Amino acid sequence: MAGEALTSYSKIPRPTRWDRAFGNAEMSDDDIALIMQQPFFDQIGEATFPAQMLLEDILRHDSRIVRYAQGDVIIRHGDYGNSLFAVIEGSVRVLLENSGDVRRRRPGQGRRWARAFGSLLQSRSRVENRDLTRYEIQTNRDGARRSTYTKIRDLDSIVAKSKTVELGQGEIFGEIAALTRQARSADVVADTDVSVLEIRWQGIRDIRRFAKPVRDQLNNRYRELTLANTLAREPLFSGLSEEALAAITQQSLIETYGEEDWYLRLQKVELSNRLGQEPPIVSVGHQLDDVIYVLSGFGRVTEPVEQGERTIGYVRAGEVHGLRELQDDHSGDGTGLRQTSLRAIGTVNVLRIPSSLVEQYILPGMSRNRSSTQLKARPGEDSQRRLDFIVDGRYMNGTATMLIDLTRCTGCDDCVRACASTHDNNPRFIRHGNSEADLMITNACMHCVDPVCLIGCPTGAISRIEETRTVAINDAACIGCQTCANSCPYSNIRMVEIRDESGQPVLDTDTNQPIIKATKCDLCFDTPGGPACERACPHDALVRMDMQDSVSLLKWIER
Amino acid sequence: MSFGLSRRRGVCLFIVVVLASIVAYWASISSAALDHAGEATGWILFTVCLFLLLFNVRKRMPAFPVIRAHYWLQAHLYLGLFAGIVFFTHTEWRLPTGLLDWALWLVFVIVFVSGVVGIVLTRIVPSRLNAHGERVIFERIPAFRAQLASEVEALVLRSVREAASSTIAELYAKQLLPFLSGPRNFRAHALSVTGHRRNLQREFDAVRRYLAPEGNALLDEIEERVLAKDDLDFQYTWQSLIKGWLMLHLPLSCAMIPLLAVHILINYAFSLGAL
Repeated sequence: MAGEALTSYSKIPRPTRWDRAFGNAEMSDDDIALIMQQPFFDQIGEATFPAQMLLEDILRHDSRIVRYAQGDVIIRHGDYGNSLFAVIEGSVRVLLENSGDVRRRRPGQGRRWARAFGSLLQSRSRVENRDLTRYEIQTNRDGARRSTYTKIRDLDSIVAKSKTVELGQGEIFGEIAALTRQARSADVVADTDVSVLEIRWQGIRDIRRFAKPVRDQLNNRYRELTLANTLAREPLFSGLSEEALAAITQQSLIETYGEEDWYLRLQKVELSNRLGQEPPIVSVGHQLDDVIYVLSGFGRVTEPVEQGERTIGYVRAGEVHGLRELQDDHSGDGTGLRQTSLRAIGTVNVLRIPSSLVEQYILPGMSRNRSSTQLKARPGEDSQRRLDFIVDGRYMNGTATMLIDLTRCTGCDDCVRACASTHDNNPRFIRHGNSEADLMITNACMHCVDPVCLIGCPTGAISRIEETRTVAINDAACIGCQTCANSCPYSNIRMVEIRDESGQPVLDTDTNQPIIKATKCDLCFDTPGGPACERACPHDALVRMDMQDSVSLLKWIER
Repeated sequence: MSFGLSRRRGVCLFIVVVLASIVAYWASISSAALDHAGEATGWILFTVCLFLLLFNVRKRMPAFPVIRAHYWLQAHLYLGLFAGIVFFTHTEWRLPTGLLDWALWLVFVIVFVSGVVGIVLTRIVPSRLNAHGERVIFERIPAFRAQLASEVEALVLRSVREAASSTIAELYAKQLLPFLSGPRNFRAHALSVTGHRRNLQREFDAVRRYLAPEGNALLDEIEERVLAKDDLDFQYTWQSLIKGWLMLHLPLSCAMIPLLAVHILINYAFSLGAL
């Protein structure tokens, strides 16, 4: 571009991390002073933070104070949140039993329909563009507060009939879901009128990094609460006495396997070498001293074949490895040795439960039909290759993976056109990707169980939408740093140069370089019909599949 | 997909044939009784054609929670078959007279036949595309073709430079350059004839005897790319066909509706005059 011609382009300052505060506006000095007096924060030494990222700056931009009235729901069980909360004033109540009193509501239906009608009216030749006023830097303070999802009118009766815990001033909650990218494990409701500090996880990440006391405290709470929550809620442990739960809690080990940044190197490792890179959690032939309960992540189940290993299935969060073998052993049919190995795919958190406890408390109340692996290789080379393809490619991570049946797909591109039509004429996926025989997994965001693209985002622009569980990008908050695109192990996030309303590229005011933003499939979360690609396929060749649902997956593949 | 007769497909076909037969039988009885059977079959046909056209409207509304395109297509196919039978019943299996009727007859027949061709293509294209190299996005084919041509050119230059041989360069100039410069053998690929591929391989075999081992190694690499280009041509041919038939089917379908409307108006105008 010639220098003179650049004057005709729209220009904005290149977005930076703290252009947009977490709340409607930055926190005031009084707010910061109030927060620093809280028990959780008074232990943090300012000196450990670098000059470019002071604790005060983190709190100012990455946190907000939210006020809730008594009965307001702060957190809903099952939602995916990205924030830690600390009670500043008043108290909240954690509902430990998910009674369904806090109902899920899908907001914004009116907006969805408006968008759908808007897509009908838009010209097909129009180029996707941005309203640049959305990128203006926030500096004013308007004091607005967040509205709540819903309100519980009869909180007292819920408290009376179910198990709850009260949290008072200075206590924190919500950190497990925020730090592990897992669903919230309990409902939390305002017990009184309450002021709560909410810190988005990018802020927590940086506070953890520079403040050792916080890091230790959060790590300890994570270990204690994960274990306690798991034992209290998972079907495997349901029906156990408090004594049994206490024994398992005290004697089981929480362990972590694999590298935390596995996703950064995944594509550099050949598919055939990936199994060798996965650290063993338990190995075939070893004593059956314990069973492995997967808390988060995935494990590959293998059996030995000559000098190598054959993948026979995978286990995911909430599943157990070694239980069947222990059942056989318990009934006198086993050898006391492990028949299969379990390897960590990516990062895996597991609970290692001693066999003696399982035999004493769990096996007596169990049927023999419980399987340790959901998707198993069936006899036949096709099935084995398919399983290897899914596990080696880490595709079981997807909750809405786009699968294409190549025996039906004619390449008509109706799916691509439907996507473009619902996204300002700019499709959010590429109808191409890795394939095994007749199964193609396209380059469309899979909305992972563990979305590692969230990890490095400095602004929280990419997050999981609480209502729909969709991983989506807030375009206004994206600064184009490419961290998410580089982190996605499946190459499903694209960086695009944005355009203004006249269709011209938008440039940085300082460097005249194009402003770029991350884009990806958002599962059409803001249209009333759901994923347009799936519904647009006239040949029933495309599906958005939850890879956790192995029954549906196999049924679809083998139809 | 296949042409196999699944239970669901069999039931649907049976229902369509039975309904169309009832219409045809009723029309023949009415005609014998000098009733206005043509009026009834004409309105049935017009209504069905309007519904068939709604499939295209559905495609333009991807954001709305309307019935999935897969079910629309199934309904479109069976109703299209029904419309075909009713059409020939309506025309009493005779050729039309008059300019407008001829135009309408031709447009309907072309739309119907192109629809049948479309069904056949959607059944056979996926397996054919899978059997010839990697599935490639249609719009990317020119870029891949150019990349292959560029790689072959580089290999030919290497053969001149490193193997000090002009044999490969001559083969390139006479045979490969025209082949690599654009899509080729469209008809052969469409008919799944592979003679041209064998001929290409024979050309390679013919020059091997003149080359030293390093020249042959380069020739192997060139042959690999030339065959990849042939696979690309195959993908281009069949993807063109699957996209192209719709270019005929859809515009003529849209053109048919105003023709039908004029046909109805004229018929009513004349029948009113007769009354």
